[in-house]
Amino acid sequence: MTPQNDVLKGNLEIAVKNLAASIQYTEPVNRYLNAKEKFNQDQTAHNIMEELSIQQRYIRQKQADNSITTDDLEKLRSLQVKAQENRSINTYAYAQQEAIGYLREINSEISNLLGIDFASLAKNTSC
Amino acid sequence: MLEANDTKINLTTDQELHVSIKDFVNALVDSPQYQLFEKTRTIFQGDQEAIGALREYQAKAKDLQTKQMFNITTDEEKKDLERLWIHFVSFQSVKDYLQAQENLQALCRDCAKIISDQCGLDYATACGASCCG
Repeated sequence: MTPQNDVLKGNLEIAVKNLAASIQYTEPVNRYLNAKEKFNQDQTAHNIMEELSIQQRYIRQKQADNSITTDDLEKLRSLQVKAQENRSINTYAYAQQEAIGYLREINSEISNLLGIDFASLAKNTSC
Repeated sequence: MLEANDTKINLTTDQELHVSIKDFVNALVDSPQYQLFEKTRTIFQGDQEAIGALREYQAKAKDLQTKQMFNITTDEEKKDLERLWIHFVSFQSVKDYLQAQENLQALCRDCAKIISDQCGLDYATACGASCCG
């Protein structure tokens, strides 16, 4: 990020901060932030996601030498079901998708007014 | 303003959001970076020699696209493509346009960072813009 004082100033700084606050308090984004907070406080949900991530990584590694067993897949499926059944994870995942969809609508509106895709201009140019 | 039942906070109405979006776009369009971007874009689009050089580069790049996918482009072809790119970016109108575009991108990244920080999601990524796209 470039130093904000050098680039962002005056009306633009005020306008973008107002827009950011407006977006934060839209229903979908606010719901997402609440769900994220609840997920962060739910240790069980964190443990499930951690286990799921480890199992996915393990299976990817075993895919390379074609040595995945039925037990490996069964454990993965069981963790996926656990994740789907956990309320915090479920609510968080759903709210995130809703918030992303809403941000895309906002970006469309900005881009239509601007005549250029704002998100593409704002993307990082290096990986 | 709507009132959320569970948290008792004021949520943004659609109308308030539209006003914020319009104010933001107006402020962005009024910025020196955007103004310079528009000016250099118009100059570039009127520079027929530079446009011709771009078309030549694009045609060559398209020709080599399939070969590049299979990594069978020869050194000579790579050099040829590079030569066409160097020729294109040697035009002053192109240099000015690319520089203005870079400055506008930096400004937009700063704006998006503020939005991302506030809404807990990376704005550009959420909106489908990839870093390599």
